[in-house]
Amino acid sequence: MRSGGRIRDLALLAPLISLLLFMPPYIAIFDQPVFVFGIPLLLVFIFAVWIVGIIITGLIARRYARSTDWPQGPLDRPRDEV
Amino acid sequence: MMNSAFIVVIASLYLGGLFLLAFISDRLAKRGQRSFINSPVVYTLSLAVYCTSWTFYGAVGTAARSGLEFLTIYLGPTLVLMAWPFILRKLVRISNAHRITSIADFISARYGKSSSISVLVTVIALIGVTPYIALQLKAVAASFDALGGASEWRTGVGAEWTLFGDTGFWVAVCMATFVILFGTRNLGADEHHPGIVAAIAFESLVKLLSLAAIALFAVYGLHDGFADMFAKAAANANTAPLFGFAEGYEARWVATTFLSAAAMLCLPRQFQVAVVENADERHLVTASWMFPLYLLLVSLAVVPIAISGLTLLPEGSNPDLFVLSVPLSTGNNALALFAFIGGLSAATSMVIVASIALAIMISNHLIAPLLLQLPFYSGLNRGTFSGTLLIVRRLCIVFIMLLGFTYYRLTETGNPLALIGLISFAGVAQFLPALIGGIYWRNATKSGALCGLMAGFVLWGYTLLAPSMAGAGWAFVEVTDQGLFGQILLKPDALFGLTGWDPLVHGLFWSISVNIGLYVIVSMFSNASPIERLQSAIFVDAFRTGEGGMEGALQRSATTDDLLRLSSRILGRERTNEIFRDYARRQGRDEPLPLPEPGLIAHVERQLAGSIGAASARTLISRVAKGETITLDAVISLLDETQQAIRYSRELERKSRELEGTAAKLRQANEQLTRLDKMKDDFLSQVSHELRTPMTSIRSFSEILVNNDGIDIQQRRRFIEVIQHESERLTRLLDEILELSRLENGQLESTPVTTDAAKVMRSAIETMRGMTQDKGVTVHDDLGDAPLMVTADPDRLKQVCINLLSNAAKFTREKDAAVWIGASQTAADGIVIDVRDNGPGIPADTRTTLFQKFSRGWSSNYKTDSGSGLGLAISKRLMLLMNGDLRLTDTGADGTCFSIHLAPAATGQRAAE
Repeated sequence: MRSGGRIRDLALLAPLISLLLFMPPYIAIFDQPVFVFGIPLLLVFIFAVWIVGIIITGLIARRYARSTDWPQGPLDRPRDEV
Repeated sequence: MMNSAFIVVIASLYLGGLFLLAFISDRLAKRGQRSFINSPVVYTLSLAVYCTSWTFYGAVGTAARSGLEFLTIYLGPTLVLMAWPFILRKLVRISNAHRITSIADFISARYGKSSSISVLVTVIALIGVTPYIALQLKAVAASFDALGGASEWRTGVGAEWTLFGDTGFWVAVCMATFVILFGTRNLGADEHHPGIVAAIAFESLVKLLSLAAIALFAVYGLHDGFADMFAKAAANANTAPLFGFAEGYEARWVATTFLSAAAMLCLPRQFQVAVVENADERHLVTASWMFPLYLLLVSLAVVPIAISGLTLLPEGSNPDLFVLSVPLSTGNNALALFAFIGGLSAATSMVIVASIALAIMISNHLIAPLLLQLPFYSGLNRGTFSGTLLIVRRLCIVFIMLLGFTYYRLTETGNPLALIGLISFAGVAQFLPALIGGIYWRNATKSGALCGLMAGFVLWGYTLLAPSMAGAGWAFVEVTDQGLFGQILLKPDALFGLTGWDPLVHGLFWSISVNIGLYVIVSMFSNASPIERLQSAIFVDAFRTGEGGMEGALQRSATTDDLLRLSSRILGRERTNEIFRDYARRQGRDEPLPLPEPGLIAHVERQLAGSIGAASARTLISRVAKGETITLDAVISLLDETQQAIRYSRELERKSRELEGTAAKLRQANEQLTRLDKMKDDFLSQVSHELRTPMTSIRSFSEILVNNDGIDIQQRRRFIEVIQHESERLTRLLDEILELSRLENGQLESTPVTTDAAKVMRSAIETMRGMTQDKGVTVHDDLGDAPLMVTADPDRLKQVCINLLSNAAKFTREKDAAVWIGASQTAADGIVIDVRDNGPGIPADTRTTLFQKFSRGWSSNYKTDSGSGLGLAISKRLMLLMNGDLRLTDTGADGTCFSIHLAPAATGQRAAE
């Protein structure tokens, strides 16, 4: 498969997997009276998935931006009249 | 508690600073220095207008009341941004290409630029968002009162209430001024408001810093870090919801995540900042991770504030004011003031963007269409509309503020902040099916979208808005208690007996499911008009077609003059001139006026749409353009063709390099084949033409013989002689064709031997003696005595000589006819034998084709002549076969000369002979 197609699939997969992890029943697995460094496990899990999702999205977005074509930049937009 | 005058001064200073920032940004943008405003970071921060005072105060309130559910409000937008290549990017691409001005404009443009859809969407948005604006005013007023000593949430609205004493009123006035100043400065090329974007980006920064400062204070000022805070929290039963889920949380968890994701796309203010104000699609690359990060930080800050509020403040404190009361409780007034400013910025940014988005929608979709119906505006030569539209827009802003303020005054009883916000979200979420379906589902129709939106809106109002109003004791109490018409099955919060559900989940379930259901079913069973199909293709294939590539396909005609006048009225003279000059330049014209092609009409329509929305622009253009009614079949076939072309070109793109090489080779081969094929065709037609002449005479003479018995024997004999003569000619012709074909295929082989060319020539002269004497042609033999030794096939050479002699004899002058045969031998040219006649010469135009088959062009009497026209062609090829040549060396009024060129034989061979 071409890398452009793969990066597109990854870009779709990242939010989908995040969505699954944020939704029950996955999220319910971590609803335990357990504390990590004094912080409830559920909170740790949600914020961990969140931050990992952000990092992965950032990495994918940079690659994706290179593999796709963009319209003309803002320069060709007519300026507001003065 | 603080002096309220001091708070007012600080707040005024902050708002004044905001005005200044917007002013400077506008000035910079006007001068073209957009680099600061036009940055992905500013874009990301402007998206954070999502976080209103509902977030600032309400998220902590929700966290304290219902625990982790507050997170879903930020998880939804996070997921939407993560999926940016599939939704936001497409929305931005379409909107930038078609100058979409609002979400109502977008949805209406998708469904055939329908004005009914734009009106419906505008009305839904207005009803859905007004409470939300009221909420912001309420939050500012309440926080001001809390900070200024009026101690509690609602007591600020006391018995001695006056309009000018109401904080909410002043906030509304201030915001209206701000939006009118920076939001309706002019009607630009598109709905871009750099000043406003800069201001709300700054406000987003302020509210994040403010919230973070309070959170840090809660963790490190009020507790000894996270571990200590959570340890204390664990000991307090009130904080339990923050540590785990309550029973049956699932439905609400999923519903609120869905709602927040939908709101990120469908809220008019989110659509405004994320799509309409987007100056560069690439900003999404940065926003895709930076905005979720912003939301993560906000969510992170909420938890400590909520815990501190729950554990440290007295029981019964209003959780919606924890953000203020937590610092206030320890007497940290400066931090409390910072918190107030943060809340103020959250509220004002929402009010600013929401009111400008709504004002654009109301003026473009509700008022402009009505105004344009008026006789004053409907004529072509009447007053300009641009000024009117600006005034209308300003009035709309005042109207929206007034509406928000009135709502805030009327519903003073407090629903918690979050509830109003969520009901608002559910209202605008009704746009989601039509919006997402519109950019991915080709067959969605206007009827489907209208039915879905209408049903979703009605059910939302019935199952969510009415009960919330009833809950506030304001209206619909009876209906909510007993159901519509007393039918308990129609009870708004338990429709069709669905009891025991959370009211939000219940209302969302009914409104969205019926919305989607009707949208899909009606779309499937209704027909799309041509313009709907066209718009559908433009929207669904947004990434595959160029800007407005298909719109130009609408074959309309209008005069440049009409378009110019229409455009000047809506956009103003200056901008119109600019648009037309640019287009004329694109057409490659020196004059300032472009040619009125369909592309120009589409271009002007797009420019108008950028100011007054697609539906109104279309109405206006159709007043001056003719021939827009195109048949359904034409559009379908047009689109099908486009689809196929698109698919084909993508395929090509992928393989182009590989194909290019092959294509070049194929082209070469094809050219060669075509040439050969044409040669063959020419040859065949010539051959059949040549064969027909003798065949015709043979047939006609034999027919005479068969049909007429009375012909005398003399005549009969003559006829038979003609037949014989023609048969011989036919045979000769066929022999020659065969020979030529063998020559051309390389089947004829010559057996070269060393031979005396002079001897061969003389023998040819002898052979032709009979003919030359018959015609009275004198043959002068100037060959000389020396032998001309060459390597050649003597038979073939003789054939060439005879051909040249017979031609010379045939075409020489009638009187004093003579042919000269000469020879020369030089080192440079080898052996040359000339055959010269004193005929009239060969016409200039046939000289080049002389050696081609059936040329015979110089023969003036070719009907009587018995030659086939192949002689010279065969002779030339024979000479080439013998490594020699046959050339026309001279022709003119006093004669023609052909010469045979041959290489002299090597001496060794000569000796051998």
